Amino acid sequence: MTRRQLLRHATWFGAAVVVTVAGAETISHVLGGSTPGAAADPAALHIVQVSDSHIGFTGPANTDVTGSFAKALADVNKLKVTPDFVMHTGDLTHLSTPAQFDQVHQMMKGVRAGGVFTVPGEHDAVDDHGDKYRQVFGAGTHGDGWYSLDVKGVHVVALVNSLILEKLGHLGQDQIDWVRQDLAGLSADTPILVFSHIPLFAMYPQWGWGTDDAMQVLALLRRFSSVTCLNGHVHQLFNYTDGRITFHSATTTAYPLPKPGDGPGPTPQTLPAGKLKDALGIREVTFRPGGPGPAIADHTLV
Amino acid sequence: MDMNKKFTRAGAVIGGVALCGLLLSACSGGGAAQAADTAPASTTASVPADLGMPAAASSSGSSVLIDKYMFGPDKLTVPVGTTVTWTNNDADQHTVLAKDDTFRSGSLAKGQSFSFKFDRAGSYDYRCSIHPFMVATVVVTQ
Repeated sequence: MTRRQLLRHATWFGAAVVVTVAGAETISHVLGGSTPGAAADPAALHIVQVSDSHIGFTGPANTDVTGSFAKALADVNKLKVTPDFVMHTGDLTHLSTPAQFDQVHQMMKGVRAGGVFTVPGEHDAVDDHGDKYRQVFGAGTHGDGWYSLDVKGVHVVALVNSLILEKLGHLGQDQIDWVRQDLAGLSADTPILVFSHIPLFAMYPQWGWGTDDAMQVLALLRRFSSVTCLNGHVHQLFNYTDGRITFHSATTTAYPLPKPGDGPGPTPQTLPAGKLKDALGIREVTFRPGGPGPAIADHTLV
Repeated sequence: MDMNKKFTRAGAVIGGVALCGLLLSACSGGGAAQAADTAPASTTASVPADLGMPAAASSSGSSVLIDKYMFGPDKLTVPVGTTVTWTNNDADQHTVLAKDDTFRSGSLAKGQSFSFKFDRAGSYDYRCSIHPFMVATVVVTQ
């Protein structure tokens, strides 16, 4: 499904569905199986988030990142409900080579979903501010690769905060201005779902786990009754709430990083044999009409 | 170097440099093409002849070792005109990227080096563009 088709699809559904979202509700963390009660509600929005596949990484923390990513995508295809779309929240590749981008592109073609979307991580822009990323994944996007879409009454915003890196993530004035325009026409009860690679909250700025100008975007989001921000980058589950805005860091399909501040830096962690798959996973996000908020279910690889 | 088999374009470049390193000859040309595509003319890159002792030159005070996802030393002070060499000792790849874009390496695999001659005094903050939490500074004095 292209972005345009998804928009049409969304309009069709959006007219018939009123989604009330009071705040994000995490149903389960690292459980097997699918979200309870999520099956077979055609009005519900079903999304899967995968993140940080790091295709091309060869270290001891995961000697087969390609196999892990393939397993994660196979797990997506095993879900009871075919997702409306799958979002990869960045670090698709480890070193931004054309071959690595092509491999991710080919692998994600095998996902059964209404659409496949991505945002770039800093590993996808190692030497070119994301040019090679956009050649493969940038069609139909604005600026450095940001975009939005409306599906089943939910407004989805995909942001790029991994290109102009000092230590922290950065959105830049052009993107902030675009967000202002993008949100301008929306009513305050529209559920907002925001994707970015780097957290939009200050998860651990000492390691660069935050975005230096995120407050300008969060200020634009505060008038909405429900805002859910999903990110990657930190390779672990982490939740944070700021007023009506909730933040959920996702895990990776490649290798774990330490907990914030645990050790000298966020370096790949090599786990004891057999433990790696418990650190990797995929995330289901379900917006049900009339529900209390998006249900978020994180699953380890099965 | 499993990647060389799977990813042909990357393999061509990285494999070439690695082979160059094994032969221990005529390295600077290939290395420079790989590592310094956007850098100023004063930049060179090469594979050190002795991969096992990348820190050996640190006695001259113009070397930075990239090890365990850190630049060491993280603050290096050198007189103007000094050529500073960074060498990656990690299995993971790293880059050296100046905050103001004065110098910029390509992706450095384990054992690969990048050099830059500082012709102007000043304080140069830099980072690894792959791992932006890795930050350090070169101070160049008159």
